[in-house]
Amino acid sequence: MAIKHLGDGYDFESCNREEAYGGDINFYINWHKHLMFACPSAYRAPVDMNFRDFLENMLRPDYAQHPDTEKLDFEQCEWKFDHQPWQPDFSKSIKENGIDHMAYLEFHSPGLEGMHGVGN
Amino acid sequence: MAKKKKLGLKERYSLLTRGLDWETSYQPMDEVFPYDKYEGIKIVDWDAWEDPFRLTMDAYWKYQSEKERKLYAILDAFQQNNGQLNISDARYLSAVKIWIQGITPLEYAAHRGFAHASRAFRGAGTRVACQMQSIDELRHAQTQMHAFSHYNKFFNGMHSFAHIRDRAWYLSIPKSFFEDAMTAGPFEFVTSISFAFEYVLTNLLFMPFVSGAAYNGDMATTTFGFSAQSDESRHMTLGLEVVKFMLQQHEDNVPIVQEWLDKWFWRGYRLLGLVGTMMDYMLPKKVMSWQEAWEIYWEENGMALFHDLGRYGIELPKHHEVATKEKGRLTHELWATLYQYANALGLHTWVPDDEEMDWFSEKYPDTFDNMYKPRLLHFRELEEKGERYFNNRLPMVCQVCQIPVFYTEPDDPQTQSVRIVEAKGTKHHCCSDGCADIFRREPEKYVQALIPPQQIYRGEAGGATNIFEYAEWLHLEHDVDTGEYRGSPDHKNWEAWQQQAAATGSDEAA
Repeated sequence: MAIKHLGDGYDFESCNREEAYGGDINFYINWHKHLMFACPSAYRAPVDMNFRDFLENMLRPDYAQHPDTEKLDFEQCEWKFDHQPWQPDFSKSIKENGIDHMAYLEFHSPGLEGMHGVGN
Repeated sequence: MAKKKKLGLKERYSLLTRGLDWETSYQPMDEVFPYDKYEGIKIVDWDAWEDPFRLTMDAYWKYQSEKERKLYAILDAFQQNNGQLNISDARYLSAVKIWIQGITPLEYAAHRGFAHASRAFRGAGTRVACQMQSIDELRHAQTQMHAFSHYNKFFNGMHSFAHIRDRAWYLSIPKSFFEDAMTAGPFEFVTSISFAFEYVLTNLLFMPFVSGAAYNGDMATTTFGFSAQSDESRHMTLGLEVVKFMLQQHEDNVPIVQEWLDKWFWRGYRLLGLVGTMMDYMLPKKVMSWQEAWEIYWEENGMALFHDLGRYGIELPKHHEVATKEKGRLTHELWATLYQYANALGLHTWVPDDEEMDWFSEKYPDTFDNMYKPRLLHFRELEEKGERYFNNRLPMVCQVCQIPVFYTEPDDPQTQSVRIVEAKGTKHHCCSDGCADIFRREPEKYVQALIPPQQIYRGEAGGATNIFEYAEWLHLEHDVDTGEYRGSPDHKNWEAWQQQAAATGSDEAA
């Protein structure tokens, strides 16, 4: 549905468009059933960064205070990309994995189901 | 000489409002009032508008100045008697901080919005009603600033409320709510603010703040609340009148009004999550739980109101059942969010004490003990080890309500609810079907939203690249204005003042 407006046109670019991120992209990651981390996290990263490096060096430190984190093996997780099942290649870059601007990645870690039996 | 008969109130009102209006002839009315048709609302007879206020300007000034004299006398007494020492606990100040940072700027925004609406309608009665409300809202903004200014002398976090209103991530929630309304046409503006917010949801906003203030010994806020009460009842009357007026004027208006009610119910509900969290977590002495308030003010009163509007063809707002499903978890999820992002908050957060946890167990028997208490106890355990948990990574934020996406799926409280909506070749994210529907209805509008974490990542937040630099850009001092309550300067000062009062005898200290 289109907006009702006065005047000749009502057309604006998205403030979140990829060109505004200086060659990098923004994407989101969420660790399923680990609600101690209240929200999916946002990352700005260079597209040529190796995906495994990203996970180990940027993502893992953010989860340091969860007891599951030291047992977490990203490569054993079940992954989703924009809600669809997805298998990343950990040796390749963010771009080579097809992770695009504003991608939403989720991973579920079998055996590590969060704390207290309720996904904390 | 025969004494001239004094005009009755009704006659006087009529002469001084509608009697001063005229049909323009040098310019067509459509050009003088360019904004009141494009939304598609059809008005057949503007004179059918029933005035909710029936006040002339001279009477308005007289009533309000009397009220204000009383208000300022009490505020003076409060200040001279060091009323800030009589509150229940300094943690209560987080509620005051949310008000001055988040709600007072809304009063000012409402003033601006109604000033615009009071020029936009061609019906004189409608214009006068909006004008009166515009002035009320300006007074409310001013009197709140005066009432809270005393606390600002003793507590941190309030000093830059106007500065952070335009910058802080959690204040973009109320700010974007009003800016969405103000950038709509005048009928949608009045529907959103006067009806959806002030009529349907006002009890969930005003009641918790003002009763919460009274329960917690905050005489300044309580007095302001009483002073504003008669204004609020006029505002509610305007809300109901404008909706009935549109629905009675033309049947084509019904689907348009329904869409607005769907949208503004949901936006209002999302905004009120902050108020609910204030009620449940920031008030050391609690009034009622968010869940109880939702049951009384929405499930009983609000739904009854919508059933009354059923005769015009209006249905319950979309997704209301989702809001009801969330009543037992909303405030716990939001508090956990505020708790962890507190390094960029102009107020303090904390883990509630045992007594408060017992209250939560009683008020939230289905959800608290099994889901939220263990999380809070884990936070407490980390804190006791000297590892107080902060999440310093920027969160995903909803493109519509601008709230970090912490909500869980309506039927699965262990999975975060994320919706992807695409527009202008870019993916955007929403927290719920409610917000995603609002986005899809007017994507041209919401793609323009400045989402705080995205502003930071684009380098548009003073060059800040992380949460600490961002807090500096907000003029918030780390661990003074922000962060954990326990051990904060507010906490230490409060303890010192309480000890001083105990040592010198409460009479002298007061």
